[in-house]
Amino acid sequence: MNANLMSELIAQLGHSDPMVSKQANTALVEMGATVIKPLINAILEGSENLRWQAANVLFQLNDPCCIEPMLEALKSPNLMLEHIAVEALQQFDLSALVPALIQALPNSHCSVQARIVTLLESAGDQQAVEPLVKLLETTDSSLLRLSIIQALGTLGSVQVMDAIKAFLDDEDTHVQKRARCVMEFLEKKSQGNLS
Amino acid sequence: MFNDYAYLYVEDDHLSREIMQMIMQNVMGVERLTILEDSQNFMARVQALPYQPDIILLDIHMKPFSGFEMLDMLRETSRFKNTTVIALTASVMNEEVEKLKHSGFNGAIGKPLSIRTFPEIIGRIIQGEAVWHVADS
Repeated sequence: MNANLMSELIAQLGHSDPMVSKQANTALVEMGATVIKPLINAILEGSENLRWQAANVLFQLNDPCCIEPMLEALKSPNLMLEHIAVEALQQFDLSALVPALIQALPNSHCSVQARIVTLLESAGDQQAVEPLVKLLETTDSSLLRLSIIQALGTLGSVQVMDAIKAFLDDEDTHVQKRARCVMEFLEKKSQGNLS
Repeated sequence: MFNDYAYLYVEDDHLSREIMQMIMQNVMGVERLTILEDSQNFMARVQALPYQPDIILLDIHMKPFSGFEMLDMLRETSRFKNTTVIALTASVMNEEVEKLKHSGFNGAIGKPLSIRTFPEIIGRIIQGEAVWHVADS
């Protein structure tokens, strides 16, 4: 493997011309696992543009070595990097990631929170219920409220009914509708009519 | 490829607008993107755009006109009769997807938007495919 070529391609990821960065992306993905370590370094130390582009290549390599740097990237103020990281984590065993995702939830950008909520929903771990309720009660984003109510319904804990009830008259009619559906589902569940 | 087209996005949710702008500019390299925050005077504002949008993305739950109503307005004009119009929805309910299909949309994309899948979906739409992608799997 030509280390100079690899370094050059990684530098090109941060190029302002999208065609140049796209070509570098394709070449690095083809190189496979050998590029993982220098890409992790680029995520930690590169320019703003290079950091998310490097994470994007790691994402496509789908290697478990990427989990730790992606979790670290969730703490970044670089919004693109945060988004790539949260979507990359979706590929791995989510049950092992629940504590780290819960930890990242309150401090992430609102749009990233919406993604974390769907990951916690997929993981199906009851640990997520309390932090989700807390976020539901404080967020001003209707899209986020919608996602959280959906996730709480999927997690299926009847204890959240009181929290969801408050959103039956939400200012957003779409949120109202989702809250109504989830309440009906949880009521049936509490009466033992659902498995 | 993406930058060969002009896009219009109508969306009242700030979070979705922010992600769309980020993906279109940073990932897709799109330069001609117009975003409207509400559907007030929709057609007048569309007609006044400096360029005609090739792909129109409409949030469904909009005020004062819903995505369905905006689609009807577009289809009533010869200029936008055949323009690609995509619905964006946070709803994953089957009945709404069926309604979208029968209303004349050319496709639907679920929210929140994904940095990975959104460009790929738009690429397929540009190739002429009808894509109904309302949930990430």
